[in-house]
Amino acid sequence: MKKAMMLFAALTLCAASAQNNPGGRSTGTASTNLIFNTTVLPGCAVNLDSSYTSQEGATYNGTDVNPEKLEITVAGRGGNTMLRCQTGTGVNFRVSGGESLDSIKGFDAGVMDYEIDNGGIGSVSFSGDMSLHRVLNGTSFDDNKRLDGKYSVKIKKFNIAGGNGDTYGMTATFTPKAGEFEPMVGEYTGTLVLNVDY
Amino acid sequence: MRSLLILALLTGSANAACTVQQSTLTLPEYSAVDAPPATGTLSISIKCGAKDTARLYLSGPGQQISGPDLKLQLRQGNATLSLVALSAASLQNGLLINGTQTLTFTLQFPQGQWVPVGAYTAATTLTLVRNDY
Repeated sequence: MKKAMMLFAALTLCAASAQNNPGGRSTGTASTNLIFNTTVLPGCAVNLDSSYTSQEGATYNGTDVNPEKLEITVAGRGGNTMLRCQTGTGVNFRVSGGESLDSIKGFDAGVMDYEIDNGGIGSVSFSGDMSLHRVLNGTSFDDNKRLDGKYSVKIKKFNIAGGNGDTYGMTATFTPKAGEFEPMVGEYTGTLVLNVDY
Repeated sequence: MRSLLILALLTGSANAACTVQQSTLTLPEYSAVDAPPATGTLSISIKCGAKDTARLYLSGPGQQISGPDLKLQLRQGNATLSLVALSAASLQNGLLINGTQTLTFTLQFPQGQWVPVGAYTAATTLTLVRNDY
């Protein structure tokens, strides 16, 4: 009975020794820190159509007191926005005339750049003079072949809680001036080009 | 005879050690635009005696099991970026280690995390616990 007790005591001593030696080989637990680091990069998923067209059936006449506005709207929320960026990605927008005639006569403000603040919700607007030119007679810019007015492009940024990133929507309009009797009857068109850099 | 028995037990205990020899962590940059996102690896080399076993734990903020995988959370302020260690769920409750081996886990960012740009980090702890205690 006495020898059995001695054996038990020896085993206990062995275990205690190991537990009290955390830096040694016989320790029961060892740990190390693993630090996971990464950088989230700026970038955008672009889902712009090759072109957008204003509503069909719009008409104009010099007698119109409030000429019909031509309008293009692209939703900035939902699953299929035109531009979805990693939150905080800097984005530059630039609007210019799409055809030589548009750029010669269509704008009084040239090229405009603007960067929406990182992270926040904001919008940027472009506006100026623009002329539509008569379809099929677009090589001349006589006043009887152009329809003058004002364009506006407003780009709005959204950031909805839930991990959608920065998303962008757009509204572009052209409003003819009232009282233009000189333009020949017929169809008129004009193009704005939106450039996006990110 | 009894003296020999005691000696054997003491010798066995002194050699019963599993230790982490090396742990290597590689993690790429992340962009939600990448499809699929780049992957990283966590490699852990463990050396054990012939009959030794141990359990390996990984613990970190926001960590949770997701099927066979272990989901980790990297943070930048209040923003979180998920990272999945594939087939690593058992690290949460202790992966049984039996013998010398090198474990390699693939780390994968879930797609479509449109979180703010910047540096993200997660401080985790890798713990090896011997089974003979």
